[in-house]
This record gives sequence, structure tokens and C-alpha cells, in this order.
Amino acid sequence: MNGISSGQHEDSTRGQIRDEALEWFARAQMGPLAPDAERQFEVWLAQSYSHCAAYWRLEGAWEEAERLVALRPAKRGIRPTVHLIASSSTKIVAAAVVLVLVAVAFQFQLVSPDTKAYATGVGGRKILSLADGSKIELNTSTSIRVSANGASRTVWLDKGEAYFQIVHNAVHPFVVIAGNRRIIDLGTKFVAHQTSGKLEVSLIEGRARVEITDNPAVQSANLVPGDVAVASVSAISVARKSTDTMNSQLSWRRGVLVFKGATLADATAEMNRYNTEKLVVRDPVLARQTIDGTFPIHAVGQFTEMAQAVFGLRAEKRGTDTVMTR
Amino acid sequence: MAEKPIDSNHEGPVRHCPEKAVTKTDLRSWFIREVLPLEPLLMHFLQKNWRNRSDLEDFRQEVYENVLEAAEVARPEHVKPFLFVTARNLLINRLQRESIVSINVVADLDALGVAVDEPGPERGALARDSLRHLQAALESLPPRSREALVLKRVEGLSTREIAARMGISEQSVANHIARAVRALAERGEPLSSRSEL
Repeated sequence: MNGISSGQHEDSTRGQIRDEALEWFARAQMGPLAPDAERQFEVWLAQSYSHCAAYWRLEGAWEEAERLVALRPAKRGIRPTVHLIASSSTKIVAAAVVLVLVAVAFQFQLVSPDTKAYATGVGGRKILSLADGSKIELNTSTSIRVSANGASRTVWLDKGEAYFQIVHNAVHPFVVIAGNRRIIDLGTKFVAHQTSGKLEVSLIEGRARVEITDNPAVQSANLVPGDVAVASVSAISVARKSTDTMNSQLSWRRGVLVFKGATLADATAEMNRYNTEKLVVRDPVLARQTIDGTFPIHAVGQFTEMAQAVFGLRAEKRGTDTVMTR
Repeated sequence: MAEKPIDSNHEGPVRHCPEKAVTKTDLRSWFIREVLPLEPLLMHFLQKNWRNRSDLEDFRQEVYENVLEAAEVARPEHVKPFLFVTARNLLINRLQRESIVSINVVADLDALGVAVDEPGPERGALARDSLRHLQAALESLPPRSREALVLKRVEGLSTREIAARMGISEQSVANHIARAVRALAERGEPLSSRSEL
């Protein structure tokens, strides 16, 4: 292991880089790296794309090896793929801008007389049509307040997730506020989702800007379709998502959930958002199994049955919980 | 984008992997999810078109470098054609430098059907095959490496627990696991020896 150093390896041959990658990978097997070594590793990795490629390739194989769990002799149903109903490709209506906002609970009261509150419970869905032709579709467990008078169009996303289809009006921009973050529509369809302190904005069409209102000059992001902005209370990061992923993310509008390579942990968490009957997976190995498939939002029973068949797991009812174990 | 000149200088300077790419897990997960599954096909292509088997691994790595560098700027919409065009460009570059003329390279791209990207069925087939290949690769590992990997990855034991059980040092366990993982990563390669191809 002493072949590893943080020095510049400008002229490392690719073979050497692969050997070093293997050494670092072996070191990571011994437990978390000490802060010093961690820094060394980051320096090493950042040296070139060749370093990244060599190391990530090992990590890819490592992740792939997780699937070996499926080969455990005691298990039935090796292929972790679930298909309940054929997933039809969602067509995104070409129109305004769709924003998905995920809001985390926050307390802001800027209530004016013409502000109206709307909410959905667990598993609920609601479509609001505004006078200007804009539409807001609330997903499960969502609370919003809407203030749309002649002068301004403002929505507070207090909790949950909503799909916005906004008719653009340059004079009266449409603003969505979630805590200290603000989304300004520049002619847009988007989804906003607020959870655990984070606001997630997925831009489907048009343009929109996300700002942290404390300091919009420093913290703002202009989004183009395919962008997903994640805004904490102090920072915004933007990633890209494929159209497919975006469509899957909006499948709740069709009353289904689409999973592609989702872990059982994530898939059950997503099912639980819509149902009072909760699925519980505590086993870490089970939680890491992956699922592909399309499920009606409320089909907890079907989901459980398929998981039983595919992963060979046991499901036990305890009150309103269904606990999955190996 | 794929047509940009590519420096294929084999021993040449490697390009800087930006800090951003390291902290942002985005490029990494894209690479693992979209590019690595295509490795068996890529190696098949390289083997057919490059006679010098001894530097295939370097060649592959160079392809990945170029792919990562381009993807950091903008993710290609269709990964497979992009990967193969990158590989082809490197190959042509190299063939020219060595004054070898080959038309086959271009023809082969079409033969591989990479011009048309059909991610659905293709990826499905890869996924189906991959578990089988994974199992075969696992079985061909040296017994100690296999044991260490299975205890870690399948049974979920810690390196320390495995060391105790196998009666060797933690360092040895780590080395066994790392070598096993490297062997699994290579499983896409011995295509020439695979009967189904």
C-alpha cells in the first residue's frame, strides 16, 4: 500500500493508474479513510479523467457485485424485476411550463385577504385551475396557498409536491415560494417538491429561475428543460435528468408510480407517501434490492405480493404496517 | 461533439479530472450506470479492430477518458453511439499514426448496430446476461478471493469479521476483495473465449 502518494503523477502510465486505483479501492475496504488519507485520495482522483475512469470502473463492478445477493441459494426468484402493468410512455402536454416543487415544512405567514389555502391528505390529488388558465396539480400530502389577484400571482408551497402549468404573463410573473426559496416562472411547466428541508424543482418546459430570497444575487439558478434544481436553505445545485426520468417522476399524475432501478428502500418510501398502510423494510440487504416496474399508487397489496414473489421475502402485517423480512 | 479532434497519444499527458466531477457524484453515477454496462460490447469492438492485445486495457481507459471529458461538458443523449464513435476516432487516429489502413473500423460500427440507439431492449438484454456472467465470473475467481468477496458483499460481514473468520489479516482481506472486484470488472473481456459469441 505504500505505493500510494499524493504527488503529481503527470506521466503515470495508464497501467500504473489502474494499479493505484486498485490500492485505493483496497484501502477503502478497511473502513473509512482517515481525513489525511481521504484528502490524498481526492487529490489522486482529481488528477485526470484516467484516474476517475479507473477508480469508478472498480466501483461499478463493486456495485454490480451487489446483485450476487440474488444468487443466494435460499432465494427464489432471481431476477429483481417487477412488472405489474405496462408503463405507457407519458406524453408531456406541450404548453406552458411545468415545475415540480418539493417543499419542506416552513412557517411563513404573508396572508392577504385574497389568499386561499388548498391541501391534500395522504394519497390525495387535486387539480386547481386559476382564472388566468394556469393549472396547479397537488400531489399527496401537500399544502399550498394561492394569491392570484390582478396584481400578482403567488403560490406558497408549504408542504409536499405540486405540478405547475403556468400561462406566462410578462407583466405578472408567477412566483412560487417555499421557505426562503422562490421559483419565478419565465413561461413554464415544472414540478416542485419540498422534503426534509430541500426544495426540488424539475423544469419540464419553458424557463424558470430558482432563487434563495435572502440573497438572490448570489444564490440563483436559471433552469432549462431537463434541469433539476435542489435548493437547501443556503445553496442551490442543478443536475440534469432525462425525459424518461422526468416522465417517471410525474407518473403520479396518472395515478401510478414508475420505478426504474429503484432500491426497495426508495420504492417503499415512495409508496408510503401515498398510503396510510406503510411498508417497512429494515433489513439493509433487502433494502438495497432494486425494482423496475409500474404500480398503481394505492396498490400496496399488489406491491407487497410482487415483492414477495420476486425477492422471496416474507411480509407480515403489524397493525397498519407491513414489515418485509428475508 | 464526437467529432472533435482527439489526442490519442498513448503515453501522453492525461487530462485533469476536475474537482467538480469528484465532489459531484453525477458524472460518476452516469458513467457507472450508462457507460460501464456497454463495456463487453466495447471490448468486442476493440478486440476486433486492434491486433495488439497487450494494450487493450490502456485503449479502453483512453476511450473512457475521452468519454468522461466530453460528458463533463454535456451528457450525450445516446450513450452507445457516442461511446463507439469515440472509440472509432481513437482507433482511426492510432491506425493513421502507425500507417495502417483499415476500412473495417467504420464498417464494423454499422455491423454493431450502434448507429441506431435502442436503449430499452439492448439494456434489458445486457441486464439479463449480466447476472449470468457475474455468476460465471464469481465462480472463476480464486477460492480465497471469492470467499472474501461473498462474505463481504453477500453476507454483509465487515472486513474485520472476515479476517477473523478466514484467519488472515484485514489487509489481506482487503486485497482479496479488491482483486476479486477487478476480476469482476474484467468479466466483459474474454469475449473471444465465450461460446455464446
